[in-house]
Amino acid sequence: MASDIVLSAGVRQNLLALQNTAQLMSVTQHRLATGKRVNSALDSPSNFFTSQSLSSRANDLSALLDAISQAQKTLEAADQGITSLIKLVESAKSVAKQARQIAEPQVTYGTIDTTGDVDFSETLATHTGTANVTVANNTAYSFDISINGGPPRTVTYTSDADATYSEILAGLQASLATELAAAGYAGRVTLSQGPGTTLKLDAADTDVDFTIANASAETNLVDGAYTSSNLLDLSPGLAGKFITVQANGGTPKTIIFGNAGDQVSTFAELQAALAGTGVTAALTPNGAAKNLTLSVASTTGTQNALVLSGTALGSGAGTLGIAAATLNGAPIAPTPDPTRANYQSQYNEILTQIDALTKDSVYNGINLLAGDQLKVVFNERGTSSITIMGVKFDSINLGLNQITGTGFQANVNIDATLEQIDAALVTLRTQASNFGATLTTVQTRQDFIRNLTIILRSGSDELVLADTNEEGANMLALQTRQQLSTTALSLSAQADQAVLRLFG
Amino acid sequence: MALKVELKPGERIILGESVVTNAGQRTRLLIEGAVAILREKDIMTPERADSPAKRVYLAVQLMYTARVPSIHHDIYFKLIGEFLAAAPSAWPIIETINSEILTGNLYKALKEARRLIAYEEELIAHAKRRAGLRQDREGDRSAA
Repeated sequence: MASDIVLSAGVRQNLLALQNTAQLMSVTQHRLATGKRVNSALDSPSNFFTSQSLSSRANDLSALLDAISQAQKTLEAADQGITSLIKLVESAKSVAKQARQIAEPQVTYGTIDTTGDVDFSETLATHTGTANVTVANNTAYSFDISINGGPPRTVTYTSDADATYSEILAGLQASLATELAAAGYAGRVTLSQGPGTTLKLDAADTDVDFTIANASAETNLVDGAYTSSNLLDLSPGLAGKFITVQANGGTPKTIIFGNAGDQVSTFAELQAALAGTGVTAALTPNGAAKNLTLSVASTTGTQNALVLSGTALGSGAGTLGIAAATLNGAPIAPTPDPTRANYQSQYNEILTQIDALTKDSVYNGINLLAGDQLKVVFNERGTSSITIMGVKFDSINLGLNQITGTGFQANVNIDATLEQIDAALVTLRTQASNFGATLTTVQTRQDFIRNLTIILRSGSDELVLADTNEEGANMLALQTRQQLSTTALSLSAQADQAVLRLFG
Repeated sequence: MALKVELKPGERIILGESVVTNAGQRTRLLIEGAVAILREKDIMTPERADSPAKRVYLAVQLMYTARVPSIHHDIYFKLIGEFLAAAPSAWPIIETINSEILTGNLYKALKEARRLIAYEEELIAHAKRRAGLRQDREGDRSAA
C-alpha cells in the first residue's frame, strides 16, 4: 500500500544519506570484525591518535589556563590599582582646588620715594618795623609798596584825635587791601601786628617780592626790597622745563615750571598740580637744606610704579634734582595663610598614599603599576603570546611632585599643579582602558582554551584507536546528523547576521 | 604594503563588513589597512556548507569577518568537537586552526580550514572507494 506522506526534497535527500551511511557503517563493521583491513597511505600509524596524547594535550592546556588566570588576576590587580589611583588623584585635585579658593595672601609693595639733590628751602618775603609804631593823633601813616617790581601803591591812614595802635593797624590793613586789589595782587601781602606794637608785612606765597618806599617815620618801617625765594629762584634755570609723572600705570600728568597762570613756580603749586595723580611731593630735610621728594603710596597685590620723565629731571641747578627713572616699590612677602599650608600638607600626604598604593598593586610578585612586564602564553607551543607592558605610576612618574615651601600660597603655583593633575588623570584613564582591552583579550583566549580543553577531555574518553575506514564512515554519519541538527540552522542564522547575507 | 586584488567583471569580494562588486571592466584594487578581505572563490555560504569540514570553514570565516569574533566561538567548538569525535586523526589540522585563531591570524586559520575540507574529502572518498571495490571484486567474496 502506497504511503500518502509527501517528503520534501531536502528530507528525502537526508534519508538517502542516512541509508548510505548505514550501509557504509555495516561494511566497515564487517571489515573490522573479519580483521580484513584495507591498506592505504592514510592508514599509517602516525595518523592514529591515542587517547593518551589527547589527554596530555588537555593537561598542557590546563597548565596554560592556570597561567592565564594568574595573568588575569595580575591585570585585575593593576586595573583595581588604577581605579584607586584615579580616586586618589581626584581627591588631590579637590584639595588643590580648595586651597585655591582660600583668598590668596597678597604681596605688599613698599612706598616709592625719590629724593632730589637741590635745596628747595623756600622763603617768604617779610619785613617787621624796627620799632613800635609811634601813636599820634591826627597824623598820616603811609608807605609805598610795589609788588614784584610793579608800580608803587601808596598805603595810607590818618589817625583821629583819639588815636590807638589798633585803629592805626586796622586803617593801614584796610588801605593795603584796597591798594593790592587795585594792583591785581589782592591778599598777596598781609599786614599784621609784629612783636610789641610793631608793623609786620608778609608775602602770602613765595611768588611775591615786595618793595617798601617812602615809609613815614611813625610807621617805623624801613624802605627796601624784601624778596621771597620760590622753586624757580632756588633752582635757577628751572623755568620753562617740565616733568611728566605717572603712578601705577595711570594717566600721565605733565607739569610745566614757570610763572604763567597754569605753570608751577612754588612748592605749594607743585603739590596742587600733583593732586589726583597718585604722586605726592614733600620736602625732606637734609641737614640745613630741604630736598624735594616725590612718592607713590605702597600697594597690596599689584606692583606699584612711578615713572618720571621730562626736562626738569636731572641733578643740580636748573632741575628738580631728581633723575628720570621708572621706580617700583620693593615687594614684601606676605604672611603664609595657615589654611593653605594645611591643604598643602594634605596634598603631599595624598601623594605619599599614591606611592604606597602603587607598591601594593602587586599580584603573584608582578606589579604592572611598578613597571613590571607580564608575558601570557596562549598555546602549549608558546607560539602565541602577548607581553603586557607595565607602567610606572608612582606620583613622580605621574608628573605629580611634593609641594615644598610656600608652594600653595600662590594661585599661580596651584594652577600649575592642577594642570599636572589633569594630565595625570588622562594618563591614568588611558592606561585603565589599555589594561581593560588587554584583559578582554586574555579573557577571550581563556574562554577559547577552556572550551578546547573540554573537547579534548571528552574526546580522549571515547577514543582509543581510530581507523581510516571507520573515520570515513563516521564523517558520512556526522554529515547527515549535522544536516538534521540545529547546528547547521544556527550556523545559517549567524551567517545571516553577518556580511555574508549580502551574498544571498 | 598594499594588497593587490584583481577582479573580473561582476566578481565580488568581502571587504570588512561590506561586499564590493566589480560592476565594470577588469579592475585592480590596492587595499591598505587591517581589514578582513575575502575573494569570492574563498567565500563559503551556508547553502554550500554541507559537510562537517565545510561548516568548520564557515564558522572560521564568520569569525574572520566579524567585528567580535568570540560570538562565533560556541558554534565553532561544537563543530570541531563533533569532527574530532568522528575523525580524531584530523587533530593536527584542527590544532593548527586553533593555534592560528588564538594568535589572531584568522586568515591563516581559514586556509587551514581549507586543508580540513580536503582531508575530509579524502576520508570520505576512501570509505566510498573501498565500498565500491568491494562490490566489484569477486575475489573478495570467494571462500577461504
